[in-house]
Amino acid sequence: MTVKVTTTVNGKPVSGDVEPNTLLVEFVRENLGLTGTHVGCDTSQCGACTVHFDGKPVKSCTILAVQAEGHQVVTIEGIGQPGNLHPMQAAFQENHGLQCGFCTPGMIMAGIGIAERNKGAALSEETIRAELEGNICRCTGYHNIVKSIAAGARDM
Amino acid sequence: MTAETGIGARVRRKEDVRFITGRGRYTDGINRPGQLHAVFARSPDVHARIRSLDTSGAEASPGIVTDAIGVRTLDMPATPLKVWTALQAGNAAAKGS
Repeated sequence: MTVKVTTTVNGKPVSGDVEPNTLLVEFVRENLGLTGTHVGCDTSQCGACTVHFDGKPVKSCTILAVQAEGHQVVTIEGIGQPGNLHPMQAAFQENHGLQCGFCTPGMIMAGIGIAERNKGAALSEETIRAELEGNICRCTGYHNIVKSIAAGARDM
Repeated sequence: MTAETGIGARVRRKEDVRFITGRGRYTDGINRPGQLHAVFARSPDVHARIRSLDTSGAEASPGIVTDAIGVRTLDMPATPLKVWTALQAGNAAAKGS
């Protein structure tokens, strides 16, 4: 049995037939072919699948595709493109905030959420580290990721 | 920092743009026409001998292409302990092999 999902992804109306237990990340990757959103752990721990759901970062492996019905989803492909980067994307490039790049889409989407939640306040390294709890990098560490998010938040 | 020699200067990585815009390519994101997906059956037991493999259930499922890697490994000699191969043959030295 499949059900039809109609939602908005990166500003465009999209729809697809999915099994009711299809996760939002599977819908985005397999139905829509937007493979920038990654599945790192399949257990909602790593945050590589973070997307924006009605403007807030969520792990797209914790949401069913059918729950996106009528909502706004934005993926890493939707925030900026080569030559027209989002300030958070540019900050990751400038601050060497990535190595293999697998966790990076989730880090950037989560980083934008951190910047927006703390808008108008001074964003400390401590706050960034605490709020980045749900995103895991297995390359090297968080130093430059934290630096990137601080710089990206300043530029947003 | 000297930009002239590069010593001590920042170097901007050439590969970053694709990764920060969601255009990095990883194996799981590749989808070619006619592409097949492999599934691995893992041993539920430790140090078990594989006596037989029954793939009839799998072969009866729609869309399944069996090249029977498992069946072929049965013809191989048992993997000696302390030797690790990607696929265990004949016996499963560890749980999850």
